[in-house]
Amino acid sequence: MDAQYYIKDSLIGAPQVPEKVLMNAFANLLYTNGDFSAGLRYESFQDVMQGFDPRNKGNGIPYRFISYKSDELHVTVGNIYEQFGTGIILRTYQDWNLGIDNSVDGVDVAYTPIPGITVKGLIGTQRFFFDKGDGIVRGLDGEVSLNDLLKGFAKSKTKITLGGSFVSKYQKDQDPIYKLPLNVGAGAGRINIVSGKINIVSEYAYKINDPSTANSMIYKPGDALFISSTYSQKGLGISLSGKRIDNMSFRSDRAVTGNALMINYLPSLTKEQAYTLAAMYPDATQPNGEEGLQAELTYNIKKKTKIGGRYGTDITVNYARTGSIDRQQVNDTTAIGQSGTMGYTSDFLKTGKVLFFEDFNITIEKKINKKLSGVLMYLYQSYNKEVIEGHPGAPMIYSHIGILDLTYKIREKKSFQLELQHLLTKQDNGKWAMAMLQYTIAPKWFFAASDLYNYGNSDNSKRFHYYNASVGFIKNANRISLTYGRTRQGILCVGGVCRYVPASNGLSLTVISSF
Amino acid sequence: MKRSSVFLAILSLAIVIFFSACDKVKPPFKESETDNNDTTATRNFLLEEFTGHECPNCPQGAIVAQQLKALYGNRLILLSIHAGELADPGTGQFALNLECPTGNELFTFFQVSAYPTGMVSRSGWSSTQNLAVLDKDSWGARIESLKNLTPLISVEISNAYDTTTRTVNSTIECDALQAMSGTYKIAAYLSEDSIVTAQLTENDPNYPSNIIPDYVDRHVLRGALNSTWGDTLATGNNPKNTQFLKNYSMVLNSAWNAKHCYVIAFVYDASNYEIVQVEEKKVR
Repeated sequence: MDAQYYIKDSLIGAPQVPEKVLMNAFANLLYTNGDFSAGLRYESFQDVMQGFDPRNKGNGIPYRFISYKSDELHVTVGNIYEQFGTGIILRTYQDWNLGIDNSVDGVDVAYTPIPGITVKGLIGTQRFFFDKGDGIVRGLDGEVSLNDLLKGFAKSKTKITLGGSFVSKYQKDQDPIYKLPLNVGAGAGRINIVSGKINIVSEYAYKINDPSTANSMIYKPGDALFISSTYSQKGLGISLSGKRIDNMSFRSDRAVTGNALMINYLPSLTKEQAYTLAAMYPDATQPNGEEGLQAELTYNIKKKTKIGGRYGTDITVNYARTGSIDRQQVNDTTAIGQSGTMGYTSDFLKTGKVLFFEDFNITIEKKINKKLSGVLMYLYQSYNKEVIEGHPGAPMIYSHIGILDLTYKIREKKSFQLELQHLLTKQDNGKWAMAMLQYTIAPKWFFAASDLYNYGNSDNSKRFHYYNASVGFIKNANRISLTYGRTRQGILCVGGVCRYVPASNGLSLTVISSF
Repeated sequence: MKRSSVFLAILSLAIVIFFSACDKVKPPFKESETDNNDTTATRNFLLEEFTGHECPNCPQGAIVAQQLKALYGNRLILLSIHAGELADPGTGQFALNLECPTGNELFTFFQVSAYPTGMVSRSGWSSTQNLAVLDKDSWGARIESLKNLTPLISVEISNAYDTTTRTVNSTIECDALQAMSGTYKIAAYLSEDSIVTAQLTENDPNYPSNIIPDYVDRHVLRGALNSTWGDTLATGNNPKNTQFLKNYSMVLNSAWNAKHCYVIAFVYDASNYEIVQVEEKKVR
């Protein structure tokens, strides 16, 4: 349960909330008996908290299911969370912090007729807050493990898995302006090769004409390519990944925007940052078109060496970049992206000219002695606010970020954590500094205080302090935390999917309980 | 092996069925236009579009509204509500204030969280659900779902405008076209058409700066003649042909062009805010 008592704070732009207190809460119940399981989730929004879609208003049981699972067959009726491959044509999931639940209410069957082959199929309508979406989603997925299926591959050290999927949505055409496709299909093929220390995953998807609000009602087909490869051995990890997305927003209601009724999931290829200032300018996937790459090297310097020290040192170097795809006019008289046309043409092998996001970061993690350990981090980020937040004319933001995170154990159960962060930029709101001190009495209590200070804002009257104080109590599977302070306006992203967070001031309470 | 063959046959059939679930649309992609300027009694629709001069996507919303107006003619009445953060008066060319208390009240009450969005006759709202505010490409479908409903009531507006005092006096006559039960309210708003001001845009090759300096704002809500939520028109049971008469007046701000102003009067169901009839008439 999350609840907040809101205090108007005109300085930072926190509005007056007439209800004073708002709450988002849920309770998951899961029951398993042998091959059968059943579950439900009760949700209550009294009223919807600031920053979440107000269409969540209400309370009820929007999620319930019954499932049977044997060696060969897995059948679920009710609300279904499912993913085909990497999710680029189908992924239904729930994320409470983002306010996302795109579960399909219907029937899901997974069947393994012979070892090495699994076929999944589902059909249903998607959750739309406390209602259902207009469209019907149908999906079929097959996966073949060559090593399990073919005798010749059985003893091979190289494991190969092939997969293919097809998803189609149906929605009535009630639009008086455009001729719309009632059935829109998307197909994908994928391969996964694991050979010793190397793992390669790749998936390509294609979607036919799907004019929607998200793509400005253009009739161009969409496609997406995702490749990820990793190499790992003791003390060393290397990963390389790339993607190209072109017009791949796929929803069961063509007219809906925001984070509702999404059928597919287009992952972000950037490192998800946890520290406040490192996450101040986060990457958001652009379903209408983007291409990106990411490379990461993780190296462990052995302990008891000169550089590694007594306990060893972990170093991670990461670089990620996303930008626009090539776009050309369909003809001389049609503007790029013009509604009711094919929209544009795009050369798969050409890259676009606009940088969306770039993040170069180095992280050093080190245990200095028995009592002291720390994380040192440097990041250089480029953030296209105009594209990612949709503010035309906003400048590209270039920032240097430094972070020091020290944990000092006083005794076995008592420790202090000190976080110092600094962000340096000439654009947007200028420079920021943050300090956070946390005292933990494991495993039950923690006390924390922090201040985020926009000391470099070019407008002196906007050099605000965003102070916070919190206390938390954990016992068994129950966790209660109480926080008082200010939250700055920004966006919160998880895996490239984002929601707007408005400025607020007040007292918030979070209760998590499992039994 | 036998089981595998059966499985493969079922799988093949499933694939064929699934792959046939694709509709490729060929040009032209637009529907042909039909005449909707019917003069017989019909239920009209009010499209209340939430917009703002610093909302770059909003010109696209206005285009959709005009496309729908071309399709539905007199049956569709447009109202642009400038409210929320992106409509707040700014500096320089964005200094013009097109907000009004009525618009702000509607924006807050219907919990508008994005632009360009709008409500078609406020349908979709209830005390437990808030699905009245729609993205722009849903407006047409919502109109289609309402357009064959039998009209419950008629609304007729007569305006008298005093050029000296800049006062408009509106007489609104309503006739029950069917027996009515429940509480219905009547509200009258004033809109001003064709206000020229700056508007943010994006991806428009004609405006590489993303600012349209001479954008024409259509059907802008200026205020209410009888408050945001209006007055009670009918309660309890009222037989067919019951007549209701209301009079309202408003003094026009000196900055408003009276020749471009309209009175919009609508009757709505007080239990769910759904507008059951709407009309508009020029002030002068």
